[in-house]
Amino acid sequence: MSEPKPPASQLSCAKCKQDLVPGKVTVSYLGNSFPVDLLKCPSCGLVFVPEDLATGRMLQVEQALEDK
Amino acid sequence: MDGQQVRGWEAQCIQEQPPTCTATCPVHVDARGLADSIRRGDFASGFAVLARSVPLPGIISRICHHPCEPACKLRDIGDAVSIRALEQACTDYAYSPLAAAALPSREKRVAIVGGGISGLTVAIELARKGYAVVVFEAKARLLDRLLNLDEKVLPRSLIFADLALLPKLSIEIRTRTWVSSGQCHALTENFDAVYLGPGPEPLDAGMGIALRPNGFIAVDPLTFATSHPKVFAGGTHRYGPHSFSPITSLQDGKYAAASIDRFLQGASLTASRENQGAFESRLFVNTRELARSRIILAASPDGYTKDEAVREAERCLPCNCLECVKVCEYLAHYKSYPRRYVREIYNNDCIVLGNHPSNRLVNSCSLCGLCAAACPEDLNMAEVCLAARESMVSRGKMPLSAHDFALRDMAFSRSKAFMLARHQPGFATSDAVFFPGCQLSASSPGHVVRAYEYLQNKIAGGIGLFLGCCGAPAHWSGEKELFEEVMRSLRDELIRMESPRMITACSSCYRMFKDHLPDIQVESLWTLLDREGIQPDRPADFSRSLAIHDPCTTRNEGRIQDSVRNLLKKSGADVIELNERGLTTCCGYGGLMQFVNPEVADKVANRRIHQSDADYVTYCAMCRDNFARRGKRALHILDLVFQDDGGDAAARPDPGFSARQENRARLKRRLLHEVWREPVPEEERKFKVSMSPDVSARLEKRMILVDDVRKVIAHAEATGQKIWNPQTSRFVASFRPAAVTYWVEYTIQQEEFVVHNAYSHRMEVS
Amino acid sequence: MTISCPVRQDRTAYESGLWENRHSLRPGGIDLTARAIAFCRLQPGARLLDVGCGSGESTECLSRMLGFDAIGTDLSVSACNSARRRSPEFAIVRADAIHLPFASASMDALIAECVLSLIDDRSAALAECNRVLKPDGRLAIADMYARRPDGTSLRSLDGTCVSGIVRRPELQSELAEHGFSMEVWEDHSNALRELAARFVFEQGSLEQMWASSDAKPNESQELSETLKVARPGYFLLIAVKREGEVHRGEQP
Repeated sequence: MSEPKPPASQLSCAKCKQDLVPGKVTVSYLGNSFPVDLLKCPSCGLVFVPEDLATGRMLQVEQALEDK
Repeated sequence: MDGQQVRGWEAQCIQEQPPTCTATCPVHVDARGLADSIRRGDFASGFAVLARSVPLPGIISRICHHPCEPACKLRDIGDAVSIRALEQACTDYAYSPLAAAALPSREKRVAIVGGGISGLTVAIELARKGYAVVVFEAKARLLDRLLNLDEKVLPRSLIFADLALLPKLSIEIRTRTWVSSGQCHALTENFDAVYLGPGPEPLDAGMGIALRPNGFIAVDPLTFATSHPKVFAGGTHRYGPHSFSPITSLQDGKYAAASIDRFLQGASLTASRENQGAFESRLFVNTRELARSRIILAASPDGYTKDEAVREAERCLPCNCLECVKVCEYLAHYKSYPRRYVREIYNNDCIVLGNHPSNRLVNSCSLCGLCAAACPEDLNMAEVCLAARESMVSRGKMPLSAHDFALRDMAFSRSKAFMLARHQPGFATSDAVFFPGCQLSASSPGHVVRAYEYLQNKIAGGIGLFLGCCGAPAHWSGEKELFEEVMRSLRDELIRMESPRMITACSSCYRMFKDHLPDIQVESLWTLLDREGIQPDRPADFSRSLAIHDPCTTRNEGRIQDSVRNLLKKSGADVIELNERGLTTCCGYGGLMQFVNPEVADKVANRRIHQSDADYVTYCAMCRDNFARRGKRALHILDLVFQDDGGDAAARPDPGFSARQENRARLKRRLLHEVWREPVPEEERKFKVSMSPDVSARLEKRMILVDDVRKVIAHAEATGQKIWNPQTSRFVASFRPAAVTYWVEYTIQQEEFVVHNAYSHRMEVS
Repeated sequence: MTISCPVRQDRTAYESGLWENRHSLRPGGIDLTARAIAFCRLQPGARLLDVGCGSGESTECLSRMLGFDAIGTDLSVSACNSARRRSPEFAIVRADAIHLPFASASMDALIAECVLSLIDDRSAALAECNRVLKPDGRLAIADMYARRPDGTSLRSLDGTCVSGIVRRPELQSELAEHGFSMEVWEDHSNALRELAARFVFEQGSLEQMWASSDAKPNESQELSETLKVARPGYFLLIAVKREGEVHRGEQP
């Protein structure tokens, strides 16, 4: 999966009051893992999964892995 | 899945059986395919269809006596398709010289006595297989009888065109060569096999070859063998001097050639020849609702113009069964038919390593049995798909997300939040137990209360109440073990209540108990109401047209269907039937179709909805809600029997999944409080969550419960772990209660949380 | 019996031995020959003369199947020899079409496939055909013709098998002149296309099909261009020898 481009106006972590920055994250399902670049809080590590990724590529991969 | 059972299912589907024209034709010409080619204006491919089965296509297209036509299904509604005339159109407009593919030549030589239709057919068939063939003809020319026919009936150019194939196949022709009985003997010495097509005169071939009493050679009707192992015979010689059927002679030639080929290879002469010659096809063709169809006549005695031929070919139905596909959107959606589906599903099941491309096909069936009701051979795709699902589950191959949501909903209904099993207040035993089911409780909890009130008054000996789930989602998803556990626990509870009798308000529950708890007596609420009598709360002058939809699980339950109709009539309704009894459709919920394949579920439901403009009435809460969600005005029968409020019950919307669970929980609390007068702990105070109808619909579509949204917001607010989006001025947060991560976009407005969007994924993020 | 007469020293594809391919060098192959013979309305025992018969195999096969008496005649020595090797029973005579070694009115039908366009003196050939045919006998001609009506002279392409290419109206009047009336005309240009395609497939190019062996390199090119303009087609015609007509300049 390719990295999502960060929006023009930065998302920020409400707790740490810091802008989210692109970072390496591991997504896994049914024993399979993939590295992905997603926006994270540099301080606490909170990750953001955008809607189009969740309902798009992620769903496709989930279904493929499940053999749906 | 059991391979033998699968083969049995495949055999039940008759779609691949040939149409009657092909089955009746002695050589099984694909007349349906020929008509289809002409319909498209492609006479050349029509010719190819003919030539594939008939080695002398020009001749046959003119003088065949077409036994196919009296068998044509169009005769049910008019005139048979003029198959022979269409064949003539192909040879008139697109005769293509027959190619002779070069085959490796075999060492064996075959002698053919008689240059008539059967002899030449044997020659062509064997030469095509690579045998060396010599034809002996007594007269000066081959096909003498045909060459004497009227030029208008059978033009010479067509005969010559067919004959031009023989030199191309290196068939040696010896005309003006009479073969006497002594010479027959010599043939058996010099050749590896002999075919006698001597024509309609008695013939003593010598060599002790057995004759019939009338002096003609005795020929085996299946193998065309004579009593001499090397000698075969056929053609008009078999039928006597007064019958001349070119197609029968051709057929004899084809099958005698097949026998000779087998003989020369040492193979069995008799094996696998069941459908040789004309046979009965098992294909079922429904001509009931078709308009009359009259033949297109050729303006000229010379035969059809191309236009006329196309118009005649368009009359061909074409013959197909497809009865189930015609009535089921699921079967139509995958653009094939059950025989293929069964094979595909079985192959899918057999895959050990690698992708399973047909899982969706297996999981999209509603298991409603409509196909079996429509099928002339009673093939039930529900049996096939359920067996496949159970196999997938038992081998760990069922995709997790397919039925997950429905199974979690079932788990909720079996949890303390909803489960309840009590005797009637004041009774220590129960004569019967009322099981309203989880969907009615979720959709119209008020009706459950009223129904229980009614039953308490009617059933002497105490009527208990049992809130729970019948396990249908587990059964439908192939979770055999889980389903058996559900059944076990239900039975245990009934035993504990010492009650062998159940009254159900849902036909799916009825189906589950009837089929899987045979030792428990089950009755539907509807037959009970009909029997015990109820005065519907309707004014006497009320009258209304309602179209009745029987839930698919009552497909063959005639008594229940009758009772419902009686109740409707008593309530003043004028009942409109949507279909013949037994042919009701699913609403999309059956088999968990709508969870697995919303697209197909929409097709199924929408087709049902558009069958009539009238308001619908049904007696399954899920059916009613499925119609309501798609904009159809629909009543539940209890709306008529108990009038809860003065509102327009038919316009009541589908409560949605979130409300369903809340309604169930509330129903339990209400009953405990009102009926058993038990103190219930205060309903946990939850913070207010609101959303627009659009957002609510989106959550419903994505199968995200409001409760799940609450959990996300609660977690985000408690831990502070949320993201701020300055572009939209919303918070975004996530939480993963179990196997799914939910994301919610929300804003905080005074006392409440406003939800703007929600989505989910199953992958874990770390 | 052989007749000597001035013979063109052609060495066309026709001579090169390609006609050895069974039934196949002529456009339409044995199927067109069969069709031509069908139109001739022959009874068993009828005498059929194949003018320019090549190996004669098709005519012989068809005649045997249908009870005719077939005789072949060809100018080429190697054709005659090959025919005799192939079938000693087949009657073949080396002769020129303008001097047919047969008695007048002795043939029930004549067939001339792919031969008329090779003959310089077409008029003489047609006269001979008329002479040997019985009255009401049929002449079947299959050959190339130029489909473009406006005059494109191909005479300049002497020595090739296209040089004698005819046009329909000319041929029709020539036939009338020689005592024939045309009964059937059919276009079979697709047969020509099929043959050309097969040539290209088997031989690599069409040039050899048209060219003479001692052609100059660009002669083929020029030929192709001319052919494109002339648009050669292929025809089958059946002509009947009219009863009572006397051929111009010949005693019956």
